Amino acid sequence: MSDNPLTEQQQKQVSDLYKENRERLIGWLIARGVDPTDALDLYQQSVLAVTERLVKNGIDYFRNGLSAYLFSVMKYMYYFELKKKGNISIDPLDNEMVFNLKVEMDDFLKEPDDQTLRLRQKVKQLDKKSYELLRLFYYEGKSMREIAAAMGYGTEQVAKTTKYRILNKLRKMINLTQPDSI
Amino acid sequence: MNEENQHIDQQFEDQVRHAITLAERDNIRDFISSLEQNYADEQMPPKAVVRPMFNKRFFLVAASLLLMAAAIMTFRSMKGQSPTQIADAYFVPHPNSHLPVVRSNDEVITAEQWAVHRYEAEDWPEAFKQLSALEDQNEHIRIFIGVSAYFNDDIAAAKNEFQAVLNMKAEEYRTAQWYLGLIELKEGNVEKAKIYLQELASQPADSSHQRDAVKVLDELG
Repeated sequence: MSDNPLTEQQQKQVSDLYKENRERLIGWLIARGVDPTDALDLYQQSVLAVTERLVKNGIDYFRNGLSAYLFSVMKYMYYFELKKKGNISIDPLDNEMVFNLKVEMDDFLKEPDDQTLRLRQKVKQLDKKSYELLRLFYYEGKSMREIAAAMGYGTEQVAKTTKYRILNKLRKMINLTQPDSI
Repeated sequence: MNEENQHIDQQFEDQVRHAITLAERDNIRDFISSLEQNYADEQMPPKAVVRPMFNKRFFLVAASLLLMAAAIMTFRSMKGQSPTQIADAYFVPHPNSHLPVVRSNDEVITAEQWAVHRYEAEDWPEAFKQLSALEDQNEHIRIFIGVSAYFNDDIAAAKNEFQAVLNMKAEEYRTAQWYLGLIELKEGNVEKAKIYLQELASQPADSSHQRDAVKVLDELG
């Protein structure tokens, strides 16, 4: 599996984003009564969400800039946490300061079930090439044709078959019954 | 594939997608942690290099410079001194090794002891008076009289006493030469002074007044 999913350019973009906004955004949270440690956690979680979106969608996705998106994500998370604790009656999406992030953030904040948590450990035990295939397909959203070309599988069908075998291997790793066919 | 299997398969794929996402987040989280570490490092003031205020090398260099400066200043000040000032600077009382003063109630203190006691006390008028009154005017007593006269500003009397010792050609001959040289210097007779001093300087090293004579000659240039 890959150790750092970011390209060098993405690493620099995220690094600059982190440094440029850290003081201001953590200050924004602290000014609203958030504990400094929790504020740092929330800020880092927001940077993580932005980074994930950057990897999946590329820099062109952020028409208002990375910093603006980061601030929106952080505010969404802040209000989301308040609402979860019952400290606020408003929905984050009702706040005009927050962009329409619901779909993206619901995906990001989705709680994993037990089997997903087991799979999380097992995918890390896959060989590097198997993990990369799954990563390109499920994380970056590449097509099997693109993956076949990028990883040298020759044809799309070979890539599909390989993916099927990897999934079966994962099923075995978590003691799941293999389905009858693809 | 039946409908139930399709559903199970789709559910499993969703779980794998989510698992891969979580695994990738772990990697990104590690990267963000490194950013925080870098940020913290950048915010920290440069580590203060604790150095002793006076480390050994600094101390040695400073001490050398100070000594050099002191030597230069001394040399310059001495160089700038007049012959009289040089004479006064070097003219110190001859130590009493002739008749150590015994302070005991059991012994009767002699007149000579009283006189030498006054000399040691640097009571120059009384020392001159008592020393001059002694019957035994040996070379040691005459040196003491000459020193006392010098500090009484009776340079002629001092010169007379030292000259007398010189004529005795005895143990204190070099001492008499030394004081005569300084007296000539005090009187501004530099060339006469140099004759005495050069003779002393030509004596074996560390002999009586040899090193002092060399220093004075050096200062005279």
